[in-house]
Amino acid sequence: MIGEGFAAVLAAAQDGSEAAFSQLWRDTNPALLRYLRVIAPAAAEDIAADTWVKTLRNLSGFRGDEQAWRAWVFTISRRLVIDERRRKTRKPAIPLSDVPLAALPFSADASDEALERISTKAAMAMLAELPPLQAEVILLRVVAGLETEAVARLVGRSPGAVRVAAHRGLRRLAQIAAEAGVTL
Amino acid sequence: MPNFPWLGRQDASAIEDAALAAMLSGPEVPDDLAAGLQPAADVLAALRARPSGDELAGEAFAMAEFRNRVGVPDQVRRTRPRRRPSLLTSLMSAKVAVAAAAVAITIGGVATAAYAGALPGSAQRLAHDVIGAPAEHSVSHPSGTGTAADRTVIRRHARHHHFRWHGCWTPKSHPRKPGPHPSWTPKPHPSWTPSAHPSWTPKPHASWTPSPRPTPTCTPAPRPTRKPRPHPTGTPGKYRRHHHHRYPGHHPGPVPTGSAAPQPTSSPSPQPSAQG
Repeated sequence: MIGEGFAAVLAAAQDGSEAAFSQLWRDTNPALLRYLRVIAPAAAEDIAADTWVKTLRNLSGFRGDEQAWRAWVFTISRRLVIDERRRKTRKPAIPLSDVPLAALPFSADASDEALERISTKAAMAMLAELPPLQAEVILLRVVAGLETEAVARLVGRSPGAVRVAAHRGLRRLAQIAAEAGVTL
Repeated sequence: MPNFPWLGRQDASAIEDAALAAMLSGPEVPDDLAAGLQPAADVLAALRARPSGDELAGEAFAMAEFRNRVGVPDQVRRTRPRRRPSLLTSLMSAKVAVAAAAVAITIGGVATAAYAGALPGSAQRLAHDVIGAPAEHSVSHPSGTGTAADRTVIRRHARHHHFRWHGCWTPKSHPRKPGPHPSWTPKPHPSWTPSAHPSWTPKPHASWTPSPRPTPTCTPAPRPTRKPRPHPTGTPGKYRRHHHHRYPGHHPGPVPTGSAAPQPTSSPSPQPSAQG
């Protein structure tokens, strides 16, 4: 999160400053990729790139604070995910949640295995075992840093439903991590 | 892997919702976190980890897209900053547009009033001279309302137009009197009779040249046709200009070629039509 200087950075980026936009991108894109690698793992990078293309198309017209900025970017990305799923309906793929945790492509290198186990990828793999709504709500709350109300607007649910889904997902996530014996 | 929500419900009594909310809100792990939630807190901490290299790999593409759509290089920005149209410029443009519209409406209204004859006397005359609006007299009240100056102007215009269209002055036009101009001598006319003016005695002037002058009387005649009538001698146009046009009541017959106009004598004009 950029914090206090977000308004100045956004204004500079809207005025054409590459440095300011680079700061915005470096702050937002990792969270966006983590969100997409759980929600749409097969096309995460492509959807992230399309998200930035659409964001840049309307960057000059955006008004709002950092929360609104992140909510806007993730809303664009989520809609692209929905479009991607509609295009892939004729090509069914095995969802990540159906893949056993042991079969996930963890690092084969023994020297990196320890680091990999505590990596973000391992955490995302465990998160992918959750039901889609729970995983998405946790990602938007934790990775994107959005408030409950913003997440509720984004996913089209009530704030209470979002809160319940997040709590259930956390409980389930704790069980998965305990069963996997992963010490993060 | 299937989800079993009832498993979570079994632990619900042991887990505080406040602790879950705290886990979601920030990286700080609550002190009173239940032991069963510690793995989840670790997962969330891993999700909040600093970005890795592959998550920043697409920056070059994003920056290229940014240059294409929004931005310009910073070096260019220093030399030639991008400028937005200022508010003052926008307001000035709006004011200019409003002023232009007001001027156009005003001109249109004045022109409409001029053609309707609703302008004051002097303004109507100006409009008549400039844009060809109807003359003042043509739209004045026939009852004669108005000042004496207005009526004078109206009469003058009436005479002017009558002369333009009929080639002679109106019957009520003021007869010219011999007076101030030394070289002026009343011009005889066939229809003019000296008895009408007993006090006047025509005197031939030595330096007098037959200049066409309007007659004090007028016989309504049709406007001369555009097509020149064949004339055996002389130039029809010249003839019409010197005689027929000025005296449309006459019926010009054969006129000596290029001869001077009749001398101002009290006798009738030698023109055949006058004799008839």
